[in-house]
Amino acid sequence: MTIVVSICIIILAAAVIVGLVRVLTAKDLGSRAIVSDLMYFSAIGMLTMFGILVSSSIILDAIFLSSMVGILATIALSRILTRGLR
Amino acid sequence: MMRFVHGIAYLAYIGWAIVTGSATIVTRLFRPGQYAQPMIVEVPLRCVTDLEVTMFASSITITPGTLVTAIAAGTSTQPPVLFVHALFEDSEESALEGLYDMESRLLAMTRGRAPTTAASTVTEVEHEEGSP
Amino acid sequence: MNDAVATTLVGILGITGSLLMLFSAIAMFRVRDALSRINVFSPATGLGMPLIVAAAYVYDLHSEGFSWGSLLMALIAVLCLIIVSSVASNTLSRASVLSGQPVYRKTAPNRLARPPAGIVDDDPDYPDHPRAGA
Repeated sequence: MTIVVSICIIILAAAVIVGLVRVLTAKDLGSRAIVSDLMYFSAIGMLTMFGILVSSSIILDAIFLSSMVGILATIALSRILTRGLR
Repeated sequence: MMRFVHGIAYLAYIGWAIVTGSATIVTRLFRPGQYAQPMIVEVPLRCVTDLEVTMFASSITITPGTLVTAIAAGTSTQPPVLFVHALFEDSEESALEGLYDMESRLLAMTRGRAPTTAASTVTEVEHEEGSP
Repeated sequence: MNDAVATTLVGILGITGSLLMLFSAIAMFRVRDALSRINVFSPATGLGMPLIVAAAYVYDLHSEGFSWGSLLMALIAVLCLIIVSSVASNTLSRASVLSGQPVYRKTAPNRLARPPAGIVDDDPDYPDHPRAGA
């Protein structure tokens, strides 16, 4: 169990690093917004895998709550992009 | 009862579309050459109510390879119009064909039967009215 | 459920989901504009995150046994991920178009393109009646 979960964490960390490079090289703001969304979901996946690694019992609660509030960051970024217009 | 059957069929269709679209995006990644052919097509809708339009827009967006960029509200003479960004379609006609197939399944779910008016007649009327 | 089956299931589901996230991160390098990036992001939330939720549910089933509460929680998490990410992508793409982010110039046909203000738009079908600048 430890090995497969570690492989998952390494893959997700690679996704976060690729996203960071993409943020640094992107020119327009929309790309940065969507890449930050990708990094949010990768971080949620890493959190879940760490929970499995330490045999936590609340991983489903954590992923349940974070999947419901994941829209808030995206909507905030889109409101920032349009300067507060709807 | 027929709505329930059509609803199950529609959910299975959306799930299969998500899987095949993801496979397309991943396999295109390992193929040299041009990755994608982006296009923005205009889709006049047969959906009428807000629920149908919202569900259709969400279904288009969750399918990998297609994305709703803007929605124009319908008036008394023109239907609502979606502007869909498609990545992996060969031509505009094939993109519209896939989208109208999805819309027919959606309307079969919400109305209990498939719509009788064909999609092509709606687009023809739309183009004639839309031309200046 | 014994240990080997649980490990295998968690491995298959978790690694497939993580690889989908990584591939959609790499695909963001292959496309050129913000709309296409929002487009290639949907496998990550539509298929990758539900697979990771499934891996977490399998682990929960293995360690604590079956309960209706955790099954309901996992199902609602998957539904929320699909619906919420769809609505979020709609909002973000609409904001990206409205705020005038650049669209890749080889996007063809682009039905959303409008001529910029001040440019006389000659309609080729009606050469006698050019519409003066919008």
